[in-house]
Amino acid sequence: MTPWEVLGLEDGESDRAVIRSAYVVKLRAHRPDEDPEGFRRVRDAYEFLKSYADHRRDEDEDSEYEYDDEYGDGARDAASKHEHDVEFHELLERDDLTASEHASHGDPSFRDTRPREPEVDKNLAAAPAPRDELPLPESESPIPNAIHQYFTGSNEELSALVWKLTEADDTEALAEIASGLERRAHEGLPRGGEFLALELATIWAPIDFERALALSEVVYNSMPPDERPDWKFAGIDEVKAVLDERLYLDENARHGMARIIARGGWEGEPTLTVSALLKAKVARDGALHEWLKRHAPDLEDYIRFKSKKSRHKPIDTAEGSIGCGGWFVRIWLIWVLMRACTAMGNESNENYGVDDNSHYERLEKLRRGLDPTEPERPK
Amino acid sequence: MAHPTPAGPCEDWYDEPWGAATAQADAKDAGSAMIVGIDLGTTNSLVSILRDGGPVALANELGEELTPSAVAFAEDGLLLVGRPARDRLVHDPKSGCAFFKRDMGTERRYVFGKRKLTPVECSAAILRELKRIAEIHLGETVRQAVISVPAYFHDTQRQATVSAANIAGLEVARVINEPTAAALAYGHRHPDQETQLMVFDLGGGTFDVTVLNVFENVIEVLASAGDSALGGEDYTDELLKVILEKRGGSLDASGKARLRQTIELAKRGLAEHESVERDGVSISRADLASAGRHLTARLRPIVMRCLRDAKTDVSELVDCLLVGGATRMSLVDTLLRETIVVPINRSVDPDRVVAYGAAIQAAAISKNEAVRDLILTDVCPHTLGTEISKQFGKDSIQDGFFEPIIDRNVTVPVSRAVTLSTMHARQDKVTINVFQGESRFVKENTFLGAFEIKGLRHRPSQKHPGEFEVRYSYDMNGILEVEVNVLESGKKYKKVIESRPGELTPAEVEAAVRRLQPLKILPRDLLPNRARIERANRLFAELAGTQRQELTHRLDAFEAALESQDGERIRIATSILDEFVEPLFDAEAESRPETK
Repeated sequence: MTPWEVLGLEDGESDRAVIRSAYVVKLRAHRPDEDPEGFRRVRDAYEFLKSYADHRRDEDEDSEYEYDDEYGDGARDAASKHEHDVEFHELLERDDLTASEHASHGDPSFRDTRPREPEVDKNLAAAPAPRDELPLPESESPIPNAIHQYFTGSNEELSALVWKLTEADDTEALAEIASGLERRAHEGLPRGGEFLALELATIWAPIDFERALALSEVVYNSMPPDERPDWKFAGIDEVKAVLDERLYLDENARHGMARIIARGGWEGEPTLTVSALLKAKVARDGALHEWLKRHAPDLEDYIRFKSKKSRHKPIDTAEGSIGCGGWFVRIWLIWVLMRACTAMGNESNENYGVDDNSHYERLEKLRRGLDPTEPERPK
Repeated sequence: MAHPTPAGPCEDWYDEPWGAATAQADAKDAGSAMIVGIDLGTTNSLVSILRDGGPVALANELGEELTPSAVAFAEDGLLLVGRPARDRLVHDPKSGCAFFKRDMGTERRYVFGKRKLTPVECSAAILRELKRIAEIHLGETVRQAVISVPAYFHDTQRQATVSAANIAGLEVARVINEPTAAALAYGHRHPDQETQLMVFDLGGGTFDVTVLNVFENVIEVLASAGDSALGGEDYTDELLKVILEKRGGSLDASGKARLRQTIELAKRGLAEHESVERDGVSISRADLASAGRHLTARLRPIVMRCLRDAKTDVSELVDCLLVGGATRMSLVDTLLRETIVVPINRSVDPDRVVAYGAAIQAAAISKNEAVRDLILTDVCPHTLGTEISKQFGKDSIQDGFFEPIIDRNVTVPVSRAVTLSTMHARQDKVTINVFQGESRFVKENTFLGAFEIKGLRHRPSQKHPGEFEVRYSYDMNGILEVEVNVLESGKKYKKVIESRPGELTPAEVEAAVRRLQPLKILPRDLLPNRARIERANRLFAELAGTQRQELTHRLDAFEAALESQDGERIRIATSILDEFVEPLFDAEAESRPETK
């Protein structure tokens, strides 16, 4: 049952007054002193919707803020630096737009890359082509040759490519790769494709959660069923649902994340450490960043160790497939989701003060998949 | 003067034994009876009921609604409660005590001569008195009450309050937070008004601040914060310290108590006047502000924390309700107006509004039509959690960390869970220590209880080796239930946290009732006379010369009349005594606004 259903609202309702009067109606039916169970359910839903409404309102205010020019040149600089993010936000906002509308919107680099039904694919093919005016026929490889060659390269080369593109801020190319990967997903990813998709997901997670999830899903679906990570949930959909539902609620997000980590991972390891540290606050106060910094080496060691132990080949062998063992992917996915949470947490809380460039710098770093609290990653 | 009499067998006219009323609330007809609302304050207490749809305070035989929260033993071993006790404490401070609310939930024991009382028993005596007052008005036995406590009272203090009520023969229908009660009374008066308000409750000994929303007959508490050892009495103590220092020399306990009383009355006078002089003691508002500046400094951070927890900006507050007698101090005004900047609302009676709210809550529990529509949601102002160990790096394990499970200011009833695990594969047992507090380390938080779970050692092919889920459920009465669910075996452990320090088992309640039984409780028809004597005794200490002689004559005659038990003689002696005492007291009362 979604929170909207609990309160008997239309799905997606975000008007505070409407939400509150629905709450009052339900409250009378489930008084806290007479029906504690019912009250808890109603209250949880109400609190979720309240923060959802706040989040929506903040987003609206933020986008207005960007076009307000009373802050002079400095503000404009900051705003232009922030442009990409804003556009991403816009895309996120326009959930209801079809792919063709996106394309005609005239922005090539931000195509809707979420997995879609076949007919949507057709739409995309029929839509006016982005920027270069060239349609991308389904029959041809959607990946430009220059990039395609890397699919035969080693993991290091793939990684280098992605970082190169990221640093050059070539979102267009990255988006191209991503959508290419998605379209190839149903016929099996090219060699190294999983790795690439995960790299991309990592980069996007803090900026475009939907896209990161979609990419993670591509990897997930591309794996032979018996090799897929053993989610204790029904599947990634449920993880997604949990996160979707919880993300806006700091506290519940913490619990939700903790649950994912606790149930999903660290076989034989002290779950306590991970869940407690994570729960300590997902990115509300930078605690997660600190944690990542401190524990990332462990995590990487762990991945390495696991992949060696598993029947899959270690990740750094150049031959054969990338060897995305269930463990490896699972931990990576968790990582991606954590990053997504980080970004969400920051965005819903951060004051977009124009006089504070550090926020944009941090976002920029996050976008590149760097730890914003650390100096630049060596090239 | 009263002759010191040894505590002998009960005289027949006050032989209603203490325990009689403890014919516990298990009586069958408890359902239909009236539930009263009680504000058990640090300085004054009050009982209130809902009458004709509105709350009214109930007065004792002397017409006083506020019963001072004081108990004292008279020379003849009588347990004095309320006004007579307070008057007695002024000239014989060792005979009893006041302000015991601040010691609720501690192991403290008071010794008065040969007698010992716990804070819980002192509170029980007050509650017993309030119960009696209510019974006079209602003409029936009162068995249930809603009792207010400071929002920031922790679990142990709440339990102690419940125990006191049990000793007094009252079943607690609900423990309500004082600021919430105030808001309830306010919301009851303005049901359709939609506001976001702050309740600033500075009582005699406790400070609470609560931010809440009132809309469509719903009163929604957003957050509470406070300090259970900060109130008007602390300001008086500080003034006393400063004045004693200035004067030099030393004073005996009784002299100090008298000086303190003088200062207290002068301090109350400051609510209306810039400076007050009383019996050679002169203080000004500036004196009060400077003596209590470190107390005032503690108020603001608490208010700000509460606003933060409520996710509310000061500018969104429509009103700030002032509750508690100490809010009459001008420095509170300054703090709120100038430092915090919030509009002040003095439309409620700061001494009575909490009891009114308790009465409204009581009516709501007994499904009174007048308040049927009112819904209240409150929060738990403390964080509840469990003790965990953390592993830093490979070999460094540190214990004693506090893992919050229910965060503070979450709307109750609430239920939250975390998944924890053992530290290593061979560990079989885990002790769940339940704590309450805000510190990262359990040693700085309050311990509530513990229990042990077993069978966690890792075994081959387990899906969740050593993992277990700890669930905390917190209900509207502040009762915490801890449930542990071992994921692998599905085994469940459940515990209601109840064995807290200061809490009494049924057997202990019995014992306390028995212990208090030989104490002679003020009989109904004696109360006005008792009060008269204590008041006269106090005057005696203040008067001098012929006035004092005059008083002695009349008082002796009065006591002799009481001894004779001759109704007509008592009546005449009473009027003779009153004739002399009343004018003197009225003069005092005029300079003393009634405060909490």
